[in-house]
Amino acid sequence: MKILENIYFAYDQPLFRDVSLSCDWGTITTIMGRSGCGKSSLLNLINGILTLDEGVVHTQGMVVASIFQDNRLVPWKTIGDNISLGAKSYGVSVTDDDICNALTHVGLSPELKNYYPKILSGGMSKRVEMARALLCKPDILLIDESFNGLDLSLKKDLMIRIAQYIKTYQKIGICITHSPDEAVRISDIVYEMRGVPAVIRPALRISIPFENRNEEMILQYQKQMEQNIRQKNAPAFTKYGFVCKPDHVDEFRELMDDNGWKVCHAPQEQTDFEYPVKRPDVIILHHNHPMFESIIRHYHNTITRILCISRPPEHLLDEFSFEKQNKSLFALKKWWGWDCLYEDLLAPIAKEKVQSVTIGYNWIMTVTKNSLKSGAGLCRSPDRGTEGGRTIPDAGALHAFNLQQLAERVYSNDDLNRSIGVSALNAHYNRTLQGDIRPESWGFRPFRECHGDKASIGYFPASLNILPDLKIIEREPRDGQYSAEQADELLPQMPYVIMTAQTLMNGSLPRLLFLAQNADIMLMGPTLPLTDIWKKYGVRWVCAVHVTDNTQMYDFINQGGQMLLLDHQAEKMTYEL
Amino acid sequence: MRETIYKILGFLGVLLAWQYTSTLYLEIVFPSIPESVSRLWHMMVYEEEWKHIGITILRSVLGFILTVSVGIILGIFAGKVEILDNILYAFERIIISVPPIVFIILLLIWFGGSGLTSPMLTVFITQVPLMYISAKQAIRTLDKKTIEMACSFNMPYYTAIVKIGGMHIISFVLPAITLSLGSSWKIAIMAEVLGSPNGIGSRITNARINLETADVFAWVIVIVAVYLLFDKLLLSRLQIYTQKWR
Repeated sequence: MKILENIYFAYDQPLFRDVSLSCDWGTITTIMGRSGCGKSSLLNLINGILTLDEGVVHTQGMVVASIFQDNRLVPWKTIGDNISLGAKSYGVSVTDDDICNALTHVGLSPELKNYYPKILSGGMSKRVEMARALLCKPDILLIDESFNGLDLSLKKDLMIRIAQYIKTYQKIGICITHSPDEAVRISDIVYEMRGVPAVIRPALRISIPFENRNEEMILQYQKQMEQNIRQKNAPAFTKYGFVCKPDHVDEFRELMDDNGWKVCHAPQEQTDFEYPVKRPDVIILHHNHPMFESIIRHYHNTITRILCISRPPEHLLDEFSFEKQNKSLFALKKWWGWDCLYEDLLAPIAKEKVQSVTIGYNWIMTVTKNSLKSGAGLCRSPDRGTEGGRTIPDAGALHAFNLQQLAERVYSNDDLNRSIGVSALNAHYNRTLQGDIRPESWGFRPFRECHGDKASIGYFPASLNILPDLKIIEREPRDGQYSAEQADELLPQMPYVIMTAQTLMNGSLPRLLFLAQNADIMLMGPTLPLTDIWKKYGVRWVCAVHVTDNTQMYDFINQGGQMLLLDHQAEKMTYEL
Repeated sequence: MRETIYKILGFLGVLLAWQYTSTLYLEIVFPSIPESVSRLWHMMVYEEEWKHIGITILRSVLGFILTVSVGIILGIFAGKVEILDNILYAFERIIISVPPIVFIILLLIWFGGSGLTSPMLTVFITQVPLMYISAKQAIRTLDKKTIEMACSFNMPYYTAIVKIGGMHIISFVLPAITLSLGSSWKIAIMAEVLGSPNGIGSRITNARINLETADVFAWVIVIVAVYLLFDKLLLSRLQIYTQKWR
């Protein structure tokens, strides 16, 4: 049955926009999400503590009872009165025997009913709250992270009692939790909730009854669920293949070669196809190729994508999730979305006047001329003595260009120009927060809480203590580190990847994002634009810097400063997208 | 038990000091205990003065009840509705800053001194801000989570405030009630002193005119005794009731 239908709810920004939730009778639905993503608010909308802005909650005439996260017994009422409180509010008469039975049912002594809650331990309080909820005989039972902080045996015991109630009386149970273990123990269906405004998506359906699930199965379910969640959160453009006109192929191939993508072309006339030793990023394949079907089957479920010249048979298009259009080069580029990264980032930048471009020994800063809120963006200066470390002809008069012109230098082949381009991008994005993103905490913390293998592109000294098992990928690897070539094989298997801001500057970022399309990605560094455009590319966290004091930062850069004094000139935050 | 002994010892100390001081001065300046007690006996038994005690109790208790009920209800609403709080701000400040004596005089002019109205309203006006402010604070410090819990079980909001938050509000305003009960009693007498033909206050005025100091002391004994009775009957019980769950 429908519980929530097209609901809208906002605090200072929309938390739910057009969200619906349905549950079946006799099942337990669990909603899993990180802390602060709005799970409790969702339950509070169902039980009426919060009021909807728009939409419908279909609980009229039903008994809804909640078991809360924290202790919500009324301290000046006896335990008996506390237990009967819920049922009495619903107009059900409660006898002394009912209270005694309720206490016995949750494994407590009936004599407790005359005492005050002060004598109860944390676990006992939870049992009393459960007795209070179950005594109402609720049609919908809401459980709000109620098992936090309880020991494992007690947790299992309470969960089983709840599950038994739901199954025996064919009621609805809605649980919320941030723990995958709790989520798969008694639930029939697990949803994942994330983002602002929140999106709720199914993550796992379990058909085996809760009483038959053993620890091994629970572990298995957890893994399966985490994998499902990762796949669902993959970038928006992950269709396996694209059908294109023959006359677009050359141009597209040229574009990809220029950007360092590995392309493998299998001409139509070539009857035999030799699988390349290194997995290509794209295979260009004619639909009449004799090995067409075996090739697409070979690379299916890898990150290699198929560019199909002319339309293949319909059944293959459906089976392998092809983008069926046979249109322009633009559509083709859109399918190959990673190459659009810089276009996406440049699109919102206006022809704003630039006040100054400071090129220091270690940092470059672009400041815009804006009476309301001037933007200041940073980028690292290129290394001296290298090809890119030379000056550029228009140095010294850069403030004559507008912000858009400076930002377009990210396409340049020259290191210094690209750095100026990135600092101009940052000057646009890092003045105010863009879009629906909000600070989470700072640094690696959210990353550390995720379980699974983690890799980093580039070396972060700070990560050593926090993430000791991090697989580090470097251009010039030292002992125990991985090379850029190894990254091609390593990244597609990684569930979590950190990338430095340097990758945006040197242009390797689109391909890295492509390789890590199965991963939750964190971008980290002082020179990243803070924008939710990243979300489209599979980035989940951006850890970036906001310049707070332009004058101090200017002095610092001019004097060759290297380590940012974050308290004084800038603040550093991690944002979850 | 030991506490009671110390309390009795304290009382005896006061009596001893009284008796000793009375030996230093003339009877008309500082009467002794036997003299005061005998005056009290005489007044109550032969002069039917006990009627005045009843009148004063009635005035102060009515004033007190009015204070508590109006103060708490207004406080609850003002604690919830900010506009009401802002509107009542002026009244609250004026009443707190103006001395009670001004209200006593005004009310005497408006209502005269013989009925219940003047002393009763004096008690109400001077005590109500205390009750109002503490009730307002009580509602603001109410544990929202337990109220939300009750609401989640389909209990209407204001019912939840009364049923679930009631005890918190009472515990919170209890010190104000204690203070207010003592003050109600004193202020009622003060109002009577200034302009009533009856009540304990009027008898004290009489005693002053006739220089009957022993009568004043006798009335003091009555005043203290009645207050102790209030305390025993109401405040102590309320205290036990609000503390037993702690």
